[in-house]
Amino acid sequence: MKSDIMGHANLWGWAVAALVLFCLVFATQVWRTFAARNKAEFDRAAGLPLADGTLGSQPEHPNAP
Amino acid sequence: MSESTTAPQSATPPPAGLERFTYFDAPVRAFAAATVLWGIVGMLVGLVIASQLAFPQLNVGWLHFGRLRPLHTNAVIFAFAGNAIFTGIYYSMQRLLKARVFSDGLTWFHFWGWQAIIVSAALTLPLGITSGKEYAELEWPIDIAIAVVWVAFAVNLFGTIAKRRERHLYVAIWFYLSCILAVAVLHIFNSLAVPASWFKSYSLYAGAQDAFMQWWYGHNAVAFFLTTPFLGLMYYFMPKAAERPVFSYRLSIVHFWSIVFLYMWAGPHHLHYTALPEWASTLGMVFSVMLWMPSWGGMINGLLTLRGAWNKVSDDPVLKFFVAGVTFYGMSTFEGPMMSVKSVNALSHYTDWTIAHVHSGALGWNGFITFGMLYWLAPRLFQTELFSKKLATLHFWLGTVGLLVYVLSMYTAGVTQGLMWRAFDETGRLQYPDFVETVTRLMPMYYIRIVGGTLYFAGVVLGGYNLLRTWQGRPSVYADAVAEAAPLAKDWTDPHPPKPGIFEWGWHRGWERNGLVFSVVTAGAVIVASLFEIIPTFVLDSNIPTIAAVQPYTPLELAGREIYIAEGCYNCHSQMVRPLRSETERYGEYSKPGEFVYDHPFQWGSRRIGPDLHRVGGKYPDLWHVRHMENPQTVHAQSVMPAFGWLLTQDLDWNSVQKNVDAMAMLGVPYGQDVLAGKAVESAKAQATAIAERVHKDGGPADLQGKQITALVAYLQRLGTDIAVKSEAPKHASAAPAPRGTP
Repeated sequence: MKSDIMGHANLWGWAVAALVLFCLVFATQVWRTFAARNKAEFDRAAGLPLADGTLGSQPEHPNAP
Repeated sequence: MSESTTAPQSATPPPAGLERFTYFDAPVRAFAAATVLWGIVGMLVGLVIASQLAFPQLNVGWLHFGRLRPLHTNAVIFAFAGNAIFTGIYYSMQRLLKARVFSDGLTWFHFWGWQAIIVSAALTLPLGITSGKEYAELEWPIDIAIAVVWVAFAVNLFGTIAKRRERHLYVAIWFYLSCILAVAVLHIFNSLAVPASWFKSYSLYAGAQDAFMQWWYGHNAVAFFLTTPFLGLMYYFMPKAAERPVFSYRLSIVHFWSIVFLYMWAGPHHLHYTALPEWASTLGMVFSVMLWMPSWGGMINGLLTLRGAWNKVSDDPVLKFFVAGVTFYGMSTFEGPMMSVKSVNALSHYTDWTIAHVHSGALGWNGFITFGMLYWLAPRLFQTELFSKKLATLHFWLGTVGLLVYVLSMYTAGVTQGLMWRAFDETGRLQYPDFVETVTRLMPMYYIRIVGGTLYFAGVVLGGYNLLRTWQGRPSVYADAVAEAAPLAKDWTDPHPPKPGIFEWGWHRGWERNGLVFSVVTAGAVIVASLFEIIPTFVLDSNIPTIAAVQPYTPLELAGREIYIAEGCYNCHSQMVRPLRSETERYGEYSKPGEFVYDHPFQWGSRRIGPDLHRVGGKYPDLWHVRHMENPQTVHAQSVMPAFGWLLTQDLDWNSVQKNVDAMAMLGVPYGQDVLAGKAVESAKAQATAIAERVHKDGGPADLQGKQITALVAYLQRLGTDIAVKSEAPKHASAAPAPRGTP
């Protein structure tokens, strides 16, 4: 049955396009995520669950002007 | 629902530059209670249907496996896991965004609306009111209600993001956003249907396209309802429980984007060896295998969050649940890609292997993360100590042992059945030609499954009792959760600004601080991936070889199909003969995509507790079907199928016959004038009379022409027969066969 459809639809390019698209996006995202210049920001972000602003566990206030 | 809480602390003003506000935890308590309640209900129904498979006599009237199984899956997925998600999201998002929820009223609307939907499902599914699409069985009025409540949820989350006091959106919020956006897209497009009445609608899609849409939905519902929001919960609650930040925040970012980009493509792995394009099947397999890496990255990130805190695991039931839950996430996300490999899938599909897989995910991953979260939340929400840590620990061990017993029995059953289906003897014939042989062999495993399920369920009941007693120890008035944070400064500037240029990533950093833009990008990833999958499938409409012999169901056959769907026959029977020798030997010619062009919805099924039915038409006399439906054990003594005796006594609803035909005609099904314009009932009665006469002539009961059984027999006798008498021909074949009319 697969050949029933494949014989009529030459759509292999969709799969290739999908793979190329994913690889490009994934590679750029990894590059960006592990760039050294973003380390400080991500380290601070990692601590957000532990600094929820509740009184008694007062967080830093990085947004203060 | 209202609760008494103390007013926000106002005795002392907040420090300069800070705002004081409260978190809205009353709905979190309500969602937590609903999680426990529906968890007990959903798992109890699961225990009942597992018992019905082992002891068929427990199928009592219309409360049989076919109708109850959708109730179980909907209750566990959307009621238990759904309420768990909302519990965790409403608690964590307020704290991660440092803002009270956007609207108290919308939050309560979300809570009560969702519970009303669950009650509606619990009432309609056992009554046989179903769309017949797995995991999307609810009929169109409830589907609309789901969309409305989901929009309220989305407005609440986006509104809270808009008023937040924390500039960076923590990765858990990303996972929540992806859930909201993707589920909305999935639900709306998969549920598109033409209503025939208040309780009946027909899917806009048919056959192979409907299958593609359904499993695009089904697979990604697992991804964006049972995975990404729970990953968000993991990234919030595990650091809280371990009292240390996530092992690698960077890894969590890669985890998020990998999941979002990969998951959408993987749906077709549910349809290997079916009437689906090969390229789509291969695409689904490749992306499924790729999913393994980010999934394990997430698992490792979760487990390593406990670095330096493993000593706590032995003493803390919360961490026990989290560790086991994340481990089950790793195991099931290894198993999923493995099962998506075609050669493995050829063995595992339609067997209990799939049942083992989904339960290791649902009970191990979703269940344990939920219970870990609830035990962590309970003292904080109810502002008292947990009633019993020992009971919580006992719950954990009952759940773990029960789950292991459950999945091991189902793995054994699945592999056993898969191997028996494909076994040939030395003469080249099927070694187990009688399907019932492959079912009775599983009975010991079905007994063991009940033991495992009972253990897990006992743990859940214990957990419910523990949380109830904790709630009873609450203060007379809850103290408000008060917090302080600085508002977002409008003139804020990045202390570490990126250099200009596309490769300096300032644009991406901007996304992470702008909820709207971030959402648009996430939605774009989801939608583009979906379009890549869906558009070619619809383009294929013109490429699917139309089989001229395939004609629309007659009005009576269509009525029989409605009974087939209402009784949930698709829960046990597939209608898809795969192009494997073991299947063509057992069932007949493999299924062609062109045979399903009038199937709104498709009924390919995903499990074979009974044999495939796509070539059952004409295989047995009408009377055989009547006897079989009346009491299957009179035909096969070892059959586990429920009896459907009422079909012989209940009248067919003739009033719905014309409406259903008209609705199908609206979908483009080419019914001629002989059944339109009010003639469908006349046609159906003529066919019913012919069937009833044949049954009576062969020695069966008399006067069945007005009963439901005649419609079901008409449908079953039609299945797969179109190409049995007519060879497959191109659309424009000159020798088109005569249209199949009514008798």
